[in-house]
Amino acid sequence: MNAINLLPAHRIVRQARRRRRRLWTGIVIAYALATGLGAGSYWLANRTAADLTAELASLVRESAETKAAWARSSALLQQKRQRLAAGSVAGRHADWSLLLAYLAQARGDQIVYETIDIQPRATATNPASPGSPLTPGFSILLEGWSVSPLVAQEFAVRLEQSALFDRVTLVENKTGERQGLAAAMFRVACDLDGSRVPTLAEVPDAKP
Amino acid sequence: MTHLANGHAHSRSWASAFGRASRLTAIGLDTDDRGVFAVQLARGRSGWALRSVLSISTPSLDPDESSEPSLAELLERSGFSGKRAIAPAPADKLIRSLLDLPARQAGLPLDQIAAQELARVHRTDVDALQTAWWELPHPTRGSDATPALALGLAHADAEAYTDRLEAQGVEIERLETRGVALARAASGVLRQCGGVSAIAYLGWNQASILIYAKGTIVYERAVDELRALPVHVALSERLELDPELVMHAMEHIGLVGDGRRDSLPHEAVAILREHVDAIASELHASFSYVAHRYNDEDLGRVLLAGPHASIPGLASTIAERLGAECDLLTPAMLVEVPESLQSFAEASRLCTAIGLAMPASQNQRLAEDSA
Repeated sequence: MNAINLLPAHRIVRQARRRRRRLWTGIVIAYALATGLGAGSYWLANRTAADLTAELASLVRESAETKAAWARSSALLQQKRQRLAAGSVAGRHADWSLLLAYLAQARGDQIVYETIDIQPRATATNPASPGSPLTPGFSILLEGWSVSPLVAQEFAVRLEQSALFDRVTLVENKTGERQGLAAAMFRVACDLDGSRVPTLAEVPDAKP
Repeated sequence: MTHLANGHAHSRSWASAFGRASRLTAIGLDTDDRGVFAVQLARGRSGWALRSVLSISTPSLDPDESSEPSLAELLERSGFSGKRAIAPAPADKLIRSLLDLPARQAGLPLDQIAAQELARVHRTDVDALQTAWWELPHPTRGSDATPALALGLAHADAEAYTDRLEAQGVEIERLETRGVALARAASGVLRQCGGVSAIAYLGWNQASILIYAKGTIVYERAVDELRALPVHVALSERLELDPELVMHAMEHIGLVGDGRRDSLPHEAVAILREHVDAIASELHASFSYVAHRYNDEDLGRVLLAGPHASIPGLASTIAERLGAECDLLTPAMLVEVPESLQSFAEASRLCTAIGLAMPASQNQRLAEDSA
């Protein structure tokens, strides 16, 4: 008596079926939503990680490429610098043809060169101002024979007076014998400032 | 005239709707030719409480009249939740019988036997009938048989009635009888009375009497003579008044003004007294039958329910005639009535809807409490 239902049985069945269908529809929709949400979140999370990984890899690759390019550029720069330095050095040296022409002219008839040695001047203290390095330049060592020590001495003075050289030193001047004749063996060291290139005007009677 | 009421503020959020739905009952939907009375209950502090009420006079449940808002729309506007509804089966289509079924034995298909027996008594096809029955207390001078009260409703009638209601946008979950709904709603009150009690449902075009004894409905009968319609027609003819005025006179003057200046004319009072006499007579006859069957002379209490049970002076006159306590059954006696719905606290027309809305388990709980 507590509760009765006089709805036709088939209607109750239909109603129950409809309610079940509605319930399951709700459950399916809720499940689909939950699954979709979960999958979406998972996909989103994974996609972000993948993106980050790819981005990181790309950055690492770019960084490596940049480093390599930088290394190549550095090497190239170094090479260019060296070339530039070499070019600079080569470009600033004296005009050897003029110098050699002058040296040939300056020796006269009484002097014979045995050796003309031109070397880049090693860094050394400037004797004019102690403590400051000597400017880069060249050391020219002239070795040879003269008819007498006096002639060698006059030759050194002549070089000194030419103003081509920073300094002219008569390193050695001694009498000796050459090919059965009395002669004087001399050695003169000349310092040439590398930044100064002798010009025609500076070289007395230069005939290049 | 339409009364829409909602005991709670409207809130349409999903969360609150889900929360509400879990503690709300289905809609109890009582209809007759002159009105629709709907109730939804919510769990209160100490039981069920009125939550939403819809009380419409002279409604149109005709689906063809589409200009009217549908019942579902009216319910929604009144704050009802959901569309599940429980309605009373059309009383004029119900068939009833007191049956003596075989004594209970294991494996005995009493449901089928009761249905067959009911169909046989009423000479109808059992396959076209939906039946329900419940066991009655054994009569004093009975055999070993299982006494039962069986009810039946033809599928065609149920379909037509349900379709008509569902065309209004509601979903009929269950068809009960007014008697079962009223007994469920008032079971706590009835059990406190003890002995044999009765509920007289007095509607516009439907009326019935049910007798409640030993914790169950032992007798239920439709009594067309107790309907309000014939009384209203007679009063209208005698008083030559507008039907609405006659209705107002029945509901607000009734028998109380008898002999005073504001009382109804003697002819009208005589018609009403005749009506009261008929009610008392039917109640007496029903009591006598049950008292004889169960050898219980203790007449407990008579409860009047329904849209036309609140005629002033009706309860007191019946009490006087029967010599028993007679009261108007009101929502306030059945459920908690919140402050916002206090205007419905004495509206006896809502009692059937309350019973329909009340979950079946509520009846058991009240029965256990009172026991």
